Amino acid sequence: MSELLLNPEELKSITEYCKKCGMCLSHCPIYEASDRLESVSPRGKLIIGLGLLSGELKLDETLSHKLMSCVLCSECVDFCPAGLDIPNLILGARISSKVYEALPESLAKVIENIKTKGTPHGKDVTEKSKWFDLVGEVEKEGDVLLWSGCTSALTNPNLVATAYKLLKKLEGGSVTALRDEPCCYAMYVYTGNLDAYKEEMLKVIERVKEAKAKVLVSLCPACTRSFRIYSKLVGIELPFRVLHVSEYLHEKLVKNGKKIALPNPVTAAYHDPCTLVRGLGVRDKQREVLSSIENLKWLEMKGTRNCCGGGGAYGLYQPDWSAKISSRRLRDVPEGVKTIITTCPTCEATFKKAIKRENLDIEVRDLVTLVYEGLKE
Amino acid sequence: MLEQVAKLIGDEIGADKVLTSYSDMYVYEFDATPMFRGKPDLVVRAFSIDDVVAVMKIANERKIPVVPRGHASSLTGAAVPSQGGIVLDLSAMRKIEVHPEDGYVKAEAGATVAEVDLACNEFGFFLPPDPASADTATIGASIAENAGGMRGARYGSFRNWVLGMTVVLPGGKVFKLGAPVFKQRMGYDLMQLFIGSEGTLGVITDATLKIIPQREGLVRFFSYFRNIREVVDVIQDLKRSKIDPLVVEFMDEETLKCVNEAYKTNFRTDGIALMIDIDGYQEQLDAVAGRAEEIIRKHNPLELDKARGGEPKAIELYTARKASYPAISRLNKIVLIEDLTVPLSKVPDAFSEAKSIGRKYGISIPTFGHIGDGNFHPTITFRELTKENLELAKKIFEEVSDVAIKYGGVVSGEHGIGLQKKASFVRMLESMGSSELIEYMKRVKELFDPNGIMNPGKVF
Repeated sequence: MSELLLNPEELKSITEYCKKCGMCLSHCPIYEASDRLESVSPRGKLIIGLGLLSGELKLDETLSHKLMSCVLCSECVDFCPAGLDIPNLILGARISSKVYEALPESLAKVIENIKTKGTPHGKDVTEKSKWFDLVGEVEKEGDVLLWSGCTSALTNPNLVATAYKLLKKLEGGSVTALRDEPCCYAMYVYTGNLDAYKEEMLKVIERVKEAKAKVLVSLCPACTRSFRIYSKLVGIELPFRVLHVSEYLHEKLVKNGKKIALPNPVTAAYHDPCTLVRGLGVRDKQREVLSSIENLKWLEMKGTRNCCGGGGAYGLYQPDWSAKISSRRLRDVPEGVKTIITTCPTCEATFKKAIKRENLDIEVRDLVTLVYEGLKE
Repeated sequence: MLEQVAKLIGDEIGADKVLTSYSDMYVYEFDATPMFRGKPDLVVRAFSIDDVVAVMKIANERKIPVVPRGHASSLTGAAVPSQGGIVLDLSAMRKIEVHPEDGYVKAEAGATVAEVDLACNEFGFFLPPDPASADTATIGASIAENAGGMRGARYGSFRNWVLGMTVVLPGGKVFKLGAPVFKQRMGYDLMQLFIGSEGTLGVITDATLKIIPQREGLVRFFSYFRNIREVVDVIQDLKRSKIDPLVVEFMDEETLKCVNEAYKTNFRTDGIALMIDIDGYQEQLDAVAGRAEEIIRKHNPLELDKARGGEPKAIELYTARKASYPAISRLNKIVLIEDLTVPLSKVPDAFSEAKSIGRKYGISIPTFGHIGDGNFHPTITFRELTKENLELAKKIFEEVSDVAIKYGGVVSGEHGIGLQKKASFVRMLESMGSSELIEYMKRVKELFDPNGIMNPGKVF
């Protein structure tokens, strides 16, 4: 995980270390989903990025499509002999080439949704507050703020409600959340528009400040990255801590040696969200939380590193290839296991669609729901 | 005209398999060699042998160059469409059938070596040749380049393991060469011509390869010696003592320095690292490894470490050797890797001479490789990518290649000739008094490829 480079000269200079050896190819889910189309492979995208930076290529919708064909899973990074952080270089190329000016139609629609409705999914931001009705009163201010993220709030309000109740229980004090919570605007960074991101992120931060939060706990790894990493990129210093919920649970439970026990035995496979493990570098904490839960037998997925297909908002952009990746990932569930645990609403939603499509008998649960169940008196 | 060709091919095999956009052409300009580029006129993604046949018919009728391509990890420019034409991308052809009962695997051209090996592992077998690029190198390309690898000390290169293949010739004729049996006499062995032909005769669409049972255990030795001569002495002594190591690899001081700088490791840099793998059945392994250790110790290594296969230490030592090229890549924008192969007894002199060329030009030539079979990789490096550096790198490259010729070896052991070694290949044949062989090769090519459409400009 290296720093995202914004200076085009520096970006070009680092990208030049790519030897075009192709060692990244076999580790790219998009390359596989495309039946091995070179121009969407990590190497292909680096070559395109370099072409744009050197002026040999000019941005158009086709090139924009290629550069946007990345789940940002970082699977390729460990296999690059030159040690390049390929997704960050691709992101850098998107930013420096202003890819947002020539987005393919489906992505332009997502951005339009964010601008006009406040969420990337095409649903109005007010719909994000449905979960409020499931918990009774939500405090207007509090030390801890629960950040649901658009995907959780819109696709799984029960999860957000459970998370709120869990935080209340663990805090024993005030926990707040934002009604009509705004988008985290990571999508603006993904599409290379840092100015728009900064403008909106400053407003988001004001909303969090108004709630007097000292700690923001996010259910979504991508939102966590937006706050923790992308905000720094545009020179914003956050006046509050940002934790992904798995980090928060680690602090509250594992560090304090708190016992959790499920009422009934559960055997499950744990799927790592790419953004959490490689984007944010959180690998052990979520596992330690899982291991601290009595009555839970959890296993690693086969191929612990593979993406669900939804990363980098890819499911919204190219649902067909995203579906191929998620179907492939389901084959990594160890034999006989009927439950997948994850800690990312996009992974969860992507898996649920794939399970339905493949007609499988597998349930997907967020870490939060397990912990909540284990803490119930 | 090529628009028309694209349409013709598209009508025959499906328009979605034919790429013509500028950006698609742009990414197919390269392979893993920094000095060559060439823009294709169109790219065809083959999904079946029928697709290949259709392309070969249409291209041959119109005398359009065809460059067969796997994952383009070639280190010689072999996959670069230097004369334009059609890049025939075979990477999507990747079916694998393992036949453990008959001891072979059949794989389509686009399956990677690692995928094939993994499929064999499920049945307790493995594919002996193991190029360092196995994760990406495809079967078709590995055969076309006659690739080798670390296990080459015992198993040699792909040539020794191919039992059969299907090739499509210009014009679309399909030939089955060889058979899935370990002994075969079929007149002139034309199959061997295709191995190492670098895509200049026809397109290999699938291959049948001999596989062997996995060994039960392994002991890995990692030692340091004061100089290359001591390293060669150890290897010769092992062989005299009837020990046939699976892997014999080395890294010189400059390579170790690169590994330390790139990965913040602390390998000693006052000697040459030698890695030796001894494998076998559990019952005999300790005895053979013990004998090997005795011999290594007899040569007074600066240091000797060992571990059994699967132990973290064994993986760490293997990773150190595998890190050579990546480390060099992390530090340098220009990396031109040589592929010299000389008789083992000549390695010390050839190695020293290659290194002295680096000193003459004031550049670093980290050197590592498969010393067990006399194949090593002096690597010409420049930190910055400039025209001047690239030109100088090319010049030094030629000079270092000549070292192999001087010591009676070859300029390429496993990477091929491609575009990069054409000149040194000619000098090598001249030194052998066999310059005319190029003409014979051209006539062989003419027989299979009368219109000269197959990967033109490569090898000669």
